[in-house]
Amino acid sequence: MADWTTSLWGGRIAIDSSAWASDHPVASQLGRQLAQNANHLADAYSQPRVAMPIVTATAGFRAASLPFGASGAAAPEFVASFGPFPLAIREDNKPARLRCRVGGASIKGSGVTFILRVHPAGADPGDGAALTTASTSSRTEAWLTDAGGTNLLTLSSFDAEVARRPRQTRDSISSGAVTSVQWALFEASVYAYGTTIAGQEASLCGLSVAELRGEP
Amino acid sequence: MIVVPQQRAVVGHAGIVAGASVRSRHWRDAATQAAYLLGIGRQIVPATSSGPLSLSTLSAHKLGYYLAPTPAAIDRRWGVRAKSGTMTIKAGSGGPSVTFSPGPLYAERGVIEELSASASAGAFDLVITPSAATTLAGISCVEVPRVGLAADSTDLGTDLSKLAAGQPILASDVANLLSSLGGGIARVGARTLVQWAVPYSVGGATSTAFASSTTTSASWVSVFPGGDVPGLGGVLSRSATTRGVTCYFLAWVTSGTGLVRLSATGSGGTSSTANVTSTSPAWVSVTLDIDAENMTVTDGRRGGHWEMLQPEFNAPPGQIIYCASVSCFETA
Repeated sequence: MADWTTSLWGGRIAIDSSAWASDHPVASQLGRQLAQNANHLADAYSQPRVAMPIVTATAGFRAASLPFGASGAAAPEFVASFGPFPLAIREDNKPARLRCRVGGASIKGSGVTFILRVHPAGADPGDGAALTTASTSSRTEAWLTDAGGTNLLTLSSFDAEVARRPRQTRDSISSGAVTSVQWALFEASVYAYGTTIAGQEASLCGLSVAELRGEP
Repeated sequence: MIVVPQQRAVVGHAGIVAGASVRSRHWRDAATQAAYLLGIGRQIVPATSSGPLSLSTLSAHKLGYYLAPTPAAIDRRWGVRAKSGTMTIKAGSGGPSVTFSPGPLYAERGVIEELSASASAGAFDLVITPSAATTLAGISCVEVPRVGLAADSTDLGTDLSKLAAGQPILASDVANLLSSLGGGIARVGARTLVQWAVPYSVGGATSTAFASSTTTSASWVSVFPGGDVPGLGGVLSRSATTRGVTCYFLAWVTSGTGLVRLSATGSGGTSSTANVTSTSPAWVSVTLDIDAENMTVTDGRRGGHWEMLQPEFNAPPGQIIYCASVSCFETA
C-alpha cells in the first residue's frame, strides 16, 4: 500500500456500467473495485481551503510595529484571517492533514517571521496547530520556507470536537425545510514578529492551505 | 432518503473474494462512502484575496467567478472578509444579500446562505456594494454538506434496503454506485485550485480600476501581482502523475488579439494558451495537465517541488489587455 492511500491500487478503476445488465447478479470483482474506488476517491478528494496568489510586498496584508521575538511578554502581531472553511474529518476523528505555504516580505528589511495557525472557527486561536516560517529580511515578496521543514499541519481530534457544531441548512431546495448538519469549521490566522529588532513591519503576500485526506 | 455521513470511513474489502458472494455489509459500506463523497460538498472558492482592496465608490462592484459546483449540493455559503465601513454583499443578480459593518481588523466577515440547484460549471457574479468606504480583504465559498440524498438519477444515492442480507444483489441495485464510483468523476472528488477575482464592473460600467493589465506584447506578464500560487491535482487513475485542469480567464482587450495562458512551473514549464479578442469582459478558457499528488510521499509534492500555477497574459501590439478573474479547477 502506498504511503497515505487507503485503497488497494492508489487510483480509481474505471468501470463501464453498461457492461452490467440491470437484472444480472453482480460479481465479487465489482464489489471489490467499488470498495477500493470509494476509498481512493475519499483519499483524493482533498480540497484546497486557502489559495491566495502572491501579491507584491506593498500590496499585502501589513502589520507594523512588530514585537521582537516569539517568546517573552510581547505576543506576535495579528496580520489577517481566512475562512471559515470545513476540514474533512478522518475515520480516526482527526481533521485531514494540511499542506501549507506562506508568502511574505519585510517592508523595512530586517528579519520577520510569520506564524500560520489553523484553529476551530470562533474558538481560542490557541487551539489548533501552527506552522512557523523561516525568518525573511527581503523587501521583495516570496514564498517562504517552513522552519519545521515539513510543510504540514496536523490538528488533533480535540480540535475536531471543538470545531464540530450543528450548522443550519436545508433538506432540499423545493421544500426549504430547515435542518442541521454537524460541520467542523476552521479558520487560518496569520501572525508575525520581528526576529532581529522590534518595530519591523511584515507583509503577508500569499497563503496556501490544502487538505491531504488520505490516512497514513 | 440516504443519510450522508459527515465523516469518512475506510471501506474494508478483505472479505470480498472471487467465487464467494459479497456480503451485504460490504455493499452498504461502499454505498455509505459514496453518499459521503456525493454529499459532503466542495470548496468552490478557496479562501482567497488579492491583498486589501479599497472600495471607495459607493456603488455595485461585480466580481466574476467561474464556479464548478457539486451536482448534489443545494446550499452554499459565501464569506466576505473586510475591514471598516459598511457593505452589502449579494450572491448573483437576484440572489440573497446581507449588509454588515466590519470592524478594524482583517478578520470581520459577512456570510450569505445561497440555495442553488446549479449542477454544472458556469459564470457567477458576487456583487459588493459599499455604503461607506471599506476595504475588501477576502472571499470564500463552500458547499454545505447534504443531510441526505435521494435514490434517484440526480442525487445518485443508493437505496440501502436493496442491499439486504440473504438476497441477490442485482446490477440495478448498485447502478448509482457504478455511476458515482465507477465513472462519474465529475460528481465526486474534483478540486477548485484557484479563484482570484477583482471588480470588473463598478456602477454598471466596465471598470479597469482593479483589473490586472499590461501593455507588454513581446513577452508574458503575470496576471497575479506577485506571480503564482501553489496548485496540485488529485490522482485520478492508478499510476497517474498528472491531472487535467481547466482555467477560465475573465479578460478583455482595447483592440486586436491578446493572449492568456496558464503555466505550471513546477512540472517543467508546461503551459496552454488562448486568444482574447473581446473588448468587454468575457470568459476564455485553457486546459492543462498539471502535477498530481504523489501519495507515497508525506506531503504529496511530486519530486519534492511545489507545483505553482501562474496565469499570464500578453497584449496586442500597442494595446492593453485586462484580466479581472482567474478560475481553475480539475476537469479530468
